[in-house]
Amino acid sequence: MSESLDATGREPPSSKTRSPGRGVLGADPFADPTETDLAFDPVEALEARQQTTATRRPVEGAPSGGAPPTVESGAEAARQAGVVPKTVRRRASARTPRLREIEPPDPANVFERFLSDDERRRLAALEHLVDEDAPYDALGFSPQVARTAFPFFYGLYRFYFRVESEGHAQIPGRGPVILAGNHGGLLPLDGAMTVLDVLLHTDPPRLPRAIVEHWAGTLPWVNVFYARVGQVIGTRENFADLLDHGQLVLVYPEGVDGIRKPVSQRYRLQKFHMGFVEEALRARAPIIPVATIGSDDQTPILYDLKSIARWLGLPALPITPTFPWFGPLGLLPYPVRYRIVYGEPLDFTERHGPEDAKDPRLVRYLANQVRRALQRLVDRSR
Amino acid sequence: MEKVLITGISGAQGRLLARRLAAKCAVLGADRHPWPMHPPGVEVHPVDLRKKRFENLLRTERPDAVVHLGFIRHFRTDPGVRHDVNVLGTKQLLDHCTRYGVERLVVVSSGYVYGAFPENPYYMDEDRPLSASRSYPEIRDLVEVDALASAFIWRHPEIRTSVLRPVNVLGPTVHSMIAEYLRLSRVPTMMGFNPMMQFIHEDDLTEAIARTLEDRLRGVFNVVGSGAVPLHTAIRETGGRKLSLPEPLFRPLFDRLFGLGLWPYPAGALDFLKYPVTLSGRRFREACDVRPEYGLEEIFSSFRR
Repeated sequence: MSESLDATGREPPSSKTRSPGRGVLGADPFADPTETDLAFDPVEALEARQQTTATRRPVEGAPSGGAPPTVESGAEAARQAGVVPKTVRRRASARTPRLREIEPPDPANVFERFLSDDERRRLAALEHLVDEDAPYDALGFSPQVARTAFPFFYGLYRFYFRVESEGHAQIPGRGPVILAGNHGGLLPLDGAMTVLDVLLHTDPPRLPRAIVEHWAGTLPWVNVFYARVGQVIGTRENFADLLDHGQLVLVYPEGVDGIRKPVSQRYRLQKFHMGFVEEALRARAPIIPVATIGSDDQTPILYDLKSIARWLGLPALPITPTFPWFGPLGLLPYPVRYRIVYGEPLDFTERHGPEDAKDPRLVRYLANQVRRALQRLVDRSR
Repeated sequence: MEKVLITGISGAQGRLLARRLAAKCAVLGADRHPWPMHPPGVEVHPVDLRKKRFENLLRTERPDAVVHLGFIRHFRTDPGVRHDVNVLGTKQLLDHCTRYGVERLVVVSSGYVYGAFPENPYYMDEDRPLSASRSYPEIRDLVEVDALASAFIWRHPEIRTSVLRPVNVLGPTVHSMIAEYLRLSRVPTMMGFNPMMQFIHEDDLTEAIARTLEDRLRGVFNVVGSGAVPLHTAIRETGGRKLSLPEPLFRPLFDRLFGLGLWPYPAGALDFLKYPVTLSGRRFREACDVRPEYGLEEIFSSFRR
């Protein structure tokens, strides 16, 4: 390598000549070649880094005399000599510190002055979801953008929808978890409120990553916003990856059928997509039903002009008491009171393993169980 | 000494690879374009992949290994010629390889073959279907080449064949499509879109190709650099100024300008500025222990506008 580079007259870069971070990409979060893709996993990354540390330079204090250490012995020596830092990265909610370990940061703007210490600590905790000083994680989540957007959604949460919630104790502090909710109300604000509610009531703070409909990926600005606040355009591969990396994943198994259902169907769960059960079995993740009351009343859909919507390429074209009569303003959700209730986790892992994900009848049966539990929770919470 | 034939040796990537390999093996090159002042250890034959003289070259020289880089990836040539060189050229090269006892073959395809779609998962693996032609028919020849080469792996197990699909290649010398795009005086982007993008340095790709050859790898591999950044960050870091354009107006315009030959990219290329095409490099990383040397900042600073 170095020979060819010398021939072209360029310096081979090494970790020593690496330019310091210029604050634009942070401290070059991606500079380490081991972090090439989906680098959530601390253990895997640590192992990979130990290998590169070992192969790149002989380890100081390593017992092997003179001879360059092989990969295995080098990594072992490094571990013994303690040159490999114990915490190479801060990432994944499992590694987020508990609230009391976080210093409340100074308010970054006017709005944040009105937040309590506790809430500002939670904002600071977002920074722990990405690498130190890195502006983005591998999926495009940006703590800065999330923090900037926070006051607006917090305002909606506190003063517009006046969210009440209960049952947060059901959410495990770490590990892969699926939150399955009832969807409603045209604009997916139930998702936004649930994300915020979980962030505001878990310790260590967890950021739910919602699985978002593909269609949102084609919308200008919306797609970037979703990515920056940690939401993921839905595909099975991403879902599986998130769970594999111990994330808290929020799904609405009804999909768009939930948000475009007519007022006559309010708080009646629509047909479920069953992929989330397969992923739950595969990743051995518990499913927590979460009922959102209020969302179905925010935009009562009297009639959905399905054929015209299909022709326009829209998921729905509703007629509501205010839309289209008041123009786009008529789509604004009414200030209903939200109630979010977390139910008892459904844990299938004791009786079913990852291989059961291939059994469609079992998956359908389990999905129905989730559906029934969620419907019960919705009925009880109303 | 081992003999390696590089097609498309006069291109920037070919030159880098030739220099990298020249120390250890005899390097032959085939290219329609000359390489003036090529290093003394390297033989460059000015032949066309589709012509008899190229077959003669393989018959007389009997290389042990072949690296196939001889593609036309830009749209400046006639589409018919481009298709011919890429697809027919590859087909004939594959035939020659079976006939003249080539042991190893590396075909350098690209990550674009997966296509840019809103439903793309992040960090796609090699089993993802190659759907680029759905929205970007102008590169269907490259998709076909990839498919030809991938099928060749299984049809001719006696030849150790690898297909590499690198992400966006940047560096001081390569003339990749993405490099030309980032060198524009105002870099057009689609308003409201800012996908995550991956980049690899030309030297890292060179090293990856060389190691694929040396480690006798067999299979299809994504080759990624370090990490991913949003497109706008990449533009800013390479010293460019972005120009946000509303897509509904400019897509038809670019399409028309491309048709008239006034704009270098077809409309399908715009999807790569909208949707993430990020690849997982896990399989390659597990197959050989080569790691990219360049971080993103180094890639961007080594890239001259």
